[in-house]
Amino acid sequence: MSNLPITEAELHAWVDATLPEARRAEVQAYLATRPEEAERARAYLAQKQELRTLFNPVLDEAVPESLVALTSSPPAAVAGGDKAFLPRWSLQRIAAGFVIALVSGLAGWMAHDRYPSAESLAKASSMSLPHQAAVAHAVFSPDVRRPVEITAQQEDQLVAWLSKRLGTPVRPPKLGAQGFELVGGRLLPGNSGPVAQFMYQDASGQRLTLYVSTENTSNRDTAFRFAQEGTVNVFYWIDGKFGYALSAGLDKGRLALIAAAARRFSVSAYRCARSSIFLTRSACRRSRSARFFAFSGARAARAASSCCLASILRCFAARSAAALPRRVSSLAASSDWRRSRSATRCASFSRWRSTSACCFASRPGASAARFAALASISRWCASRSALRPPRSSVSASRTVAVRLSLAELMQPTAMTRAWHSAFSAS
Amino acid sequence: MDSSAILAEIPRLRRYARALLGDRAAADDLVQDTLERAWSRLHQWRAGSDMRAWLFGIMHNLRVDLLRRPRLSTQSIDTDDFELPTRPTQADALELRDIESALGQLADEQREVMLLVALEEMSYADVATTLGIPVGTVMSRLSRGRERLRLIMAGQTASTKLRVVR
Repeated sequence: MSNLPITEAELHAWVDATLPEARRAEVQAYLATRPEEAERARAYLAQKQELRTLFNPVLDEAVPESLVALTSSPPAAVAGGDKAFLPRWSLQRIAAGFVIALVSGLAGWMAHDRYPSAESLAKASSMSLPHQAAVAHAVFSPDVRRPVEITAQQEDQLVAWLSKRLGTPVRPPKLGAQGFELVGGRLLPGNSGPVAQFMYQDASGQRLTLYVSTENTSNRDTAFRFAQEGTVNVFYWIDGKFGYALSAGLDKGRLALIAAAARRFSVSAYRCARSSIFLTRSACRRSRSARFFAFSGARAARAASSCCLASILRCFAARSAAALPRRVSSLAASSDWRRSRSATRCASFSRWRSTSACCFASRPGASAARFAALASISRWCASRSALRPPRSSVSASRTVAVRLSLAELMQPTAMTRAWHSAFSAS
Repeated sequence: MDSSAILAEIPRLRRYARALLGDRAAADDLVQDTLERAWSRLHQWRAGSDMRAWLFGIMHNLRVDLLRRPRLSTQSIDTDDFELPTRPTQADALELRDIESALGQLADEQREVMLLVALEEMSYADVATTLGIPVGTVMSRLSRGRERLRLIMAGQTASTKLRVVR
């Protein structure tokens, strides 16, 4: 007996009776001394026997027809090897391939001129500014609860955000004179980038949207155009790189008025940026002369204060202009600071006047009516200068200021009487 | 390739497939697929070589392809975790059924090797050629498969005995 240890493989070989005769006897002797290993080997033998007992009956089963049919060779595989290549690529198939290639190539050639290229398609779609605006209007304006992304309460945020996203300063025009108040705005996808949409609403709930796109590159057309998309009327115009479209379910005449106002605002906002530096300088000059007049006399002081009020209103308008350069705004800020004291004086003065006007409004008399008229004129002046673009507001407020001071100069005694009675009453 | 030679191999192919899959219909499908593929790859068969090993190799490859095909992913549940009552096995036929279920618990690769050795009485080298794996791998799979089967069978009979005493 050799001293080679019995390996696991040899144990299995013993079970399967594939060992040489000599080694077989050695394994037999080894198993006789190891009852556990012998038990294991017996279990393996039993497994083998059981598997055969279980599955050998399959050998005697009749072979199913489907399998018998497969014992004869299928026609395609009569002889193996290289011949299998040809039938797969018969002459008909190759010819069919050529025909398909020829027909599709011809079709592509002929269709090439018939259909516009991608560039002209893009050009065509970029012309559909009114269409896009009308669709955006139809989508968002009926929304009762969430018509806009940022409401008019956060107008500063809205303007800053849209200006940043569009890469150029944009701001919603004031359409209060036309009866429309800003609801808010949102950002929309345009042809090649973001566009802005502002929404307005009047007292009756009628909404209109202003669609502002900055994608215009070539067309310098600035004429008004009108388009009708379903029930939505659209006025649109192009101003430099800006494209504006005003959409609403209003009649054409009224919409044209609103569009004219919106356009005036947008154009003047653009020009204001360039001219604001001169305007600020003249405002400074005016305020300086107003202060000079303030020291020269009591009567003249009123006129000077009115002038001062006008210049301050003017300054606010300049500040709120869209494209104010940084240098100009800092200049305006410093002059603002200088004028703030006279502004406070002015504000208290106008409050005085309005309270006294209110006191006298209840009493009959010509002077009370005059004061009421003065108060309404000053209110009108404030609203005009807030709504109108800067340059026109200058002249408007100036004329109002002149009218105001003239009226007061004509009735100095009535004025003082009014103050005395107002203070003595309180 | 002779049709009578193939016909002679069919019963053995069926037996092996039945043992491998445990299902009659699936086994016959596998045999049919094997024969079809054998005809389509007839040129790969060298005349004079062992047709049986060749056919079993084809069947093995088909089975691997079948297993690799994307299926609904399922999780196997270990039956040891459940205290399922089992009937006492009193007849040989039931014991044989037990070895069939125990066979089903083995890994596919172990079952293949065990069945080729036990039913087809192939030598270890032939098994290695048929399955396309080294002889050492054949031996380790055979060893593990047999041991696992033995433990499963022992566990079953032990638990069965306990149930009988209760």
